[in-house]
Amino acid sequence: MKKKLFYALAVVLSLLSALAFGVLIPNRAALTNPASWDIHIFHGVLGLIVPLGIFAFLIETLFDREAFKKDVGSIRRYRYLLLDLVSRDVKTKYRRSVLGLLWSILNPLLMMLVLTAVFSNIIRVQVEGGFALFYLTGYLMFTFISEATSVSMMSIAYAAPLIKKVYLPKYIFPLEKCIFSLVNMLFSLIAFVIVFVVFAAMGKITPSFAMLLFPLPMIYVFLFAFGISLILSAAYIFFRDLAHIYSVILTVWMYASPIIYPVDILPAWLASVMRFNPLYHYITYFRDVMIYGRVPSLYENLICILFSVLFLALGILCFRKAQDKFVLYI
Amino acid sequence: MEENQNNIAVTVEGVSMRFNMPKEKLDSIKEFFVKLLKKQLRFEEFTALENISFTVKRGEVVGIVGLNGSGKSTLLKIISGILRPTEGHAVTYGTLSPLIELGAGFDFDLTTRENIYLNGSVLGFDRAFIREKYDEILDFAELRAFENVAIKNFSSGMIARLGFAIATLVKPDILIVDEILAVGDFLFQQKCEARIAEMMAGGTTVLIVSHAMEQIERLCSRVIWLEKGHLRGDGPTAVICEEYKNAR
Ligand SMILES: Nc1ncnc2c1ncn2[C@@H]1O[C@H](COP(=O)(O)OP(=O)(O)OP(=O)(O)O)[C@@H](O)[C@H]1O
Ligand SMILES: [Mg+2]
Repeated sequence: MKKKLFYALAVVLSLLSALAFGVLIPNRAALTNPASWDIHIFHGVLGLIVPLGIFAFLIETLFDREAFKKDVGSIRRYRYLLLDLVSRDVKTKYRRSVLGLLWSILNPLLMMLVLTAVFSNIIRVQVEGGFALFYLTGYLMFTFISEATSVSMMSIAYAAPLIKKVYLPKYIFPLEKCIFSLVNMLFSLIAFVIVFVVFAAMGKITPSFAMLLFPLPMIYVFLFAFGISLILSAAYIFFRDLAHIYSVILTVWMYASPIIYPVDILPAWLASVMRFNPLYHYITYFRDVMIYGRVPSLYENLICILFSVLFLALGILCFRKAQDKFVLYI
Repeated sequence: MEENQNNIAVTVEGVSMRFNMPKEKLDSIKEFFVKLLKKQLRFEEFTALENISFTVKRGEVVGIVGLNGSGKSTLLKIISGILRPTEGHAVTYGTLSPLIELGAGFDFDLTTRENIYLNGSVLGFDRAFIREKYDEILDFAELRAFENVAIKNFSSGMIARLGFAIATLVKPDILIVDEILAVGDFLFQQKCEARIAEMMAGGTTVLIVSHAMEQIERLCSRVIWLEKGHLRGDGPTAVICEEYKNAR
């Protein structure tokens, strides 16, 4: 009963915030950014769903404080398990094959070479700063998200023998896979550094202090990927078909993100739709910092944070609702 | 209330556990919808535990008896938090060591040494603590000669020993034992019992499931008897054990 009241209040507040963000704020942002109808819609939608997600998270937490305490309290206790699982994954990936580490660097490099050959010579896409680095940054971000989420998706199912035998906080498994993917991304970042150094030596690009901000987009994208992973890993227990569906979604998502093309070649309406793709904001942020030496504004940080927080809240919400049933279905 | 909790170790209140057993296993959405359309989606609800309530006082040693499938393991899993009951709740006060399935998280390709650390972290032990107790574990399990051997080559008794040695490293407030004493040779069984007795002497509350009545009679002061998910009896060992034996 009380819960419904809280939810009603949350809906009202979210609608107010949708109104506030949809109408008021963009006019101020318009000073730097020519505002049109689409930015109002974007802010309105964001102003609606972000508070809704956060309120839902807070309300459910309030009404299930025990589960919340148990989950938070176990982070410290099981930190060594987390560490063990990550290091076991890293070992199997990098130690068993001598070329493991090398492949993490070579893969993006080879992809970059092929695509640069195609896109800058045959299709002739014009990108500021050259296609190679442009592609590499997008590729790194997307590979991280796709790897983290699709490996996490199976993580609970694979941990079935453990989950059936001992009490463990179950979010450990998707979290572990996300951390492992992050480690992989850091290794792949070496490819970026190599190309960057070569380009810098050729005088095509100059390093800037903005590059030091690179952990920020990675934190944003990590939280986002973790949120998605929580949802997927929980849903996968109940619908095993999700694996097939999600691989299709990932392909679509890749082409719907500005990885091999810049947004400015899109027609205006498509560019407005693009705003709703969180990956677009993360990739743009990453490129600004890594290639163009631009320090992203507070506004750009806020958009990234809102997406991350929203998906994290939704992820924790779904996962916590489902986690008690896992044992019965795996 | 606070006063009361101080001498209570476990409360089980109105716990019911129902499993939804689909008649056949559905692994895909397509199958699910096809079955849904044909109205073939049947679930068989199976009640493993029905409205179980009891409390265990601090320091008590309680045996749980019952025939196969009567819900003993399910009850222990609910108490240790592996399963969440459909209705009711179980609360434990103090630290808990469930010896339900030993060696959870053992990776059979890894060596004894690696598995000790892995299993330790699965049980939530501190890394430094395991390092400190490492020799004690090896000695207790009598596996020093196999320190660097992959455990896939072990006998089931050796694996159980290793699991037991790690799981009983700390003296918990509540110890939950499910039939694990059956594995291992008689020498090791004696050793396990000695270790459990040592804990009991230190005031640990113990819940034991065993089919060895002789063991229950020797260790427990109180026995809970489950029959097809119902609480059939709860009382002093001598009384309940007698009833249980006569019933079959
Ligand atoms: N995950 C599950 N899904 C469906 N049914 C289950 C599940 N776990 C247990 N059951 C059912 O619950 C009943 C009780 O099982 P449980 O393992 O608790 O019995 P038990 O008393 O420990 O038996 P035993 O003496 O053989 O160890 C059994 O009939 C079993 O089939
Ligand atoms: Mg059993």
